[in-house]
Amino acid sequence: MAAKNKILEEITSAEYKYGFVTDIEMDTAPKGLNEDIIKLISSKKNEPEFMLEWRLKAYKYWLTMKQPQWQNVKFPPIDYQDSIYYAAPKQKAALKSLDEVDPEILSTFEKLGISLEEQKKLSGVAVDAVMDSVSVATTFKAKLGELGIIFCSFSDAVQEHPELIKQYIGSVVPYTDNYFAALNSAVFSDGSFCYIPKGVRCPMELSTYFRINAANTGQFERTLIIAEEGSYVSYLEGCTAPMRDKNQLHAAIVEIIAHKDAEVKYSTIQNWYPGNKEGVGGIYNFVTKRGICQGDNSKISWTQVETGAAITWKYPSVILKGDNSIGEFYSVAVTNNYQQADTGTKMIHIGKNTKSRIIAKGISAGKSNNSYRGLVRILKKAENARNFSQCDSLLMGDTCGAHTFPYIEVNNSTSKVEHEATTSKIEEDILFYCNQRGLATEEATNMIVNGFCKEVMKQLPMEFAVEAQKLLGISLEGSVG
Amino acid sequence: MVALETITDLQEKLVTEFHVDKNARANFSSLREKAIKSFSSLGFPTLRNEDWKYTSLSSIINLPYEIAGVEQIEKFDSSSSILKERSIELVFINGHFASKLSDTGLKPDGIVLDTFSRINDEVFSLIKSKYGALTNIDDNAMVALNTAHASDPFLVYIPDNTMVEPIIHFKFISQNKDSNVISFPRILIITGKNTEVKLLESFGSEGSGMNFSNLVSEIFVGENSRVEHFKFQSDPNESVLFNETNVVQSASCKYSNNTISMQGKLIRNNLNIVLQEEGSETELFGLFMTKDRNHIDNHTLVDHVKPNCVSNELYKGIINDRSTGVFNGKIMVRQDAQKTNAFQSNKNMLLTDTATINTKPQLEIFADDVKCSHGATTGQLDMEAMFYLQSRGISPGNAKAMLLEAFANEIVDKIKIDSLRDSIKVMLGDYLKV
Repeated sequence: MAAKNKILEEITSAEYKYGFVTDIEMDTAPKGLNEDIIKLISSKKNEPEFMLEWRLKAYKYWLTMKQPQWQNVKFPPIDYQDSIYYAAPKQKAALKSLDEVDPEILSTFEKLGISLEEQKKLSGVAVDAVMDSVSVATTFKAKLGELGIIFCSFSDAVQEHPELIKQYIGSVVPYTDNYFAALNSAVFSDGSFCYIPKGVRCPMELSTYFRINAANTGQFERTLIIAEEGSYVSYLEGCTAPMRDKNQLHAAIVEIIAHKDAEVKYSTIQNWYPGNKEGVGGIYNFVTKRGICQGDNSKISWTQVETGAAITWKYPSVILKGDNSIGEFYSVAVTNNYQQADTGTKMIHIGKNTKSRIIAKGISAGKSNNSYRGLVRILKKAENARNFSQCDSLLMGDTCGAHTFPYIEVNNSTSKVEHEATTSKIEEDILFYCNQRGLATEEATNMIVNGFCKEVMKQLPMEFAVEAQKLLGISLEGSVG
Repeated sequence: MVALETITDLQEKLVTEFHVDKNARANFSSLREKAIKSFSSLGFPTLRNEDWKYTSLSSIINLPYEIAGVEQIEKFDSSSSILKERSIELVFINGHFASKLSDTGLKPDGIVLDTFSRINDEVFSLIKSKYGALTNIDDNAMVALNTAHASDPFLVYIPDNTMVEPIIHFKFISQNKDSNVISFPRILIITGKNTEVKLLESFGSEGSGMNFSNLVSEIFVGENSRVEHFKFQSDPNESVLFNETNVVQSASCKYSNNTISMQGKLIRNNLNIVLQEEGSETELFGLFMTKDRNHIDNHTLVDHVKPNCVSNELYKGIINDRSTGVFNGKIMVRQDAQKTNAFQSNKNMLLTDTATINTKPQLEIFADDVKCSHGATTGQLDMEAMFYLQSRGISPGNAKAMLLEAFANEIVDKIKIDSLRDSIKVMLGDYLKV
């Protein structure tokens, strides 16, 4: 036991390696939330009238709502007036190339290991980096433009393609959806926008990187992805934040629209600051992600690796409206110390022959709590709908918790739904087997954990898979004896 | 808004017609007063309550009811029984124990079978602290309502080292004369060390009005004891049943429950098991078959508090016509409960597109050295199996009934009392053929 405890202590001491603050001059709005702040955000971004109206509607609706209480997480009430709702690196002129970007910001991203320069040259990944609330740089914009692909910051999209924004914003996640969606709709400051025209297969992975830098700010970004008929895109998202004692709020929205025969693959590595080992500070990650398979034969696939944030509360969902459409959800959620995660998915089967697959792996250590919460709903007309769900939990230590809350609602008699869940620790005989063959316990644990997560990890694009495996290693260094 | 007012009507009636004789010995007046206060502030559960997310009471509590009184006890034809052998038969009419209609001839010496008002002081002092100990009247409105209105609960007390050979058969009969009646049967069962007992509950009703039973039981399973519990819920008269059973298990004992629900307008089962001490075992089996517009909701909770316990649960549902089936199974493993093995499985067959099944298997685990799993499936008849049977000259109707019977028999075959199993199989066969 003593050895076990010692090893457990070691994980808790694994430091958050992205906890640096970048010293850049920030342009921030005053603290608090009211109609004036929303008007200020809107005017700072030089938005058309319809956007302001929409924001104000969302704000008014938000005022009538109460923060939801049903999640399996605990946190003190959030004072929404104590946050800054707009913070931008001070730099105004529109950017055409990376050379124009503030070198301080560039070095921030270098520290994160996502050097835009390097990625641009070597991996061919187009990156849209969002720091606090403003999109800093978008690489490869011109090259993508040749194919008709629009990949830019949300604010640029509002300026350049207002008709698309007007048509699609809020069409998958309306501002009435939930408390945090309403808040985001009112105050969101930037995010990414991506449009893939008919029949185009996006030749490279598109990537966004989010970072909260300023103190006391909330980050409210919004991502909108539209895949026209027969198109394909793979989209990556990563998040980090510096160490701060205070809890910061991150309430984002991601909307995906997949038209006929289109396919969208969305991968996330979330590594927000999880708070220190006493559970002080860290990010509240309250995110609404949803995609709709609008047309027949379309496909949306979510992959997420959640290792950070003090509290994670998100359910990337797919509405399977088109016939023969497919929804997938692959997730690894790791919690340690006092982290809390309540995450899962929703698969809403509306069209005929729709299929969904859910693979969720939860790993809890320290004093953390990790919940899977998912909904599979088969509507009356969803003939021959098929769902397979599997959620497995791995417990490391006896002070953590693993929970499963699957909701299955079936209204159609030709559909098949399966759900499986298991919870256990790393079996001693497996460890013994590895030890016997000369592997140290720590190495063996790493191997077993990686094997446990492999089904999800192999869904990640190459560049991300490497980073995700490293993250797993850091968060669970020597975690079982 | 009419509906809302009527709801308040029944709620108000239940609160204003509540009375308790403070001078009687065994009436638990302060507990009952607390319970009615709690019910009055909670009100009937609505869909907003997570535990009632899939079960609406609004169409039921919308009706006017009479609260069942003792005077309504009348003669009841109890000749037809699902048991062939003679048993200890305890008849309850509208929640009140009817000693004249009951048969306790086979009762072994030493065991107590009587209402609280008739047991002696010595026994009363033994059970006093146990009554209400397993129920939650603060959050559970239906249990609070039962606790308030159950004026004379029934006690089964089995002293140490007693094996009760005959089955103890509870017959809950609801009766009304053209008006809707709500009744509140309440049972307390305490078994000592090294005991063995078989319990059977069956339900029936008479009258043209609606019968609404709110039945709550508490069962204390003693060290080294075995309790086998069967519930057979089948009432063709479209009655409504709320049935909560709270069980707490001592060390090295075994509790098994087999709940079969077939007919009834609305059945809600809450089955809560707490494995309070080490080395115990729980087995829960359930079969629910709904037709027409019926609604059957099974909620189970297995709470592992201490190490080295085993629980195994299997619930199966056949959902037909426009009916709804609900399964909500929760396994809780507390931090202390190392070396727990807990398994849960729920399998459902949905026969029409107008039927609905909602299932929610939950795991909440706080200990690491455990093996826990759950699984849930929903599907339909295997078309290849249907074809196989039909190609051998079996009509589609019979082929369907055969396959459904085979599906259901996995649960029925767990019943160890031969005569009960046989009569349930016959009823099941008739039920599935229609």
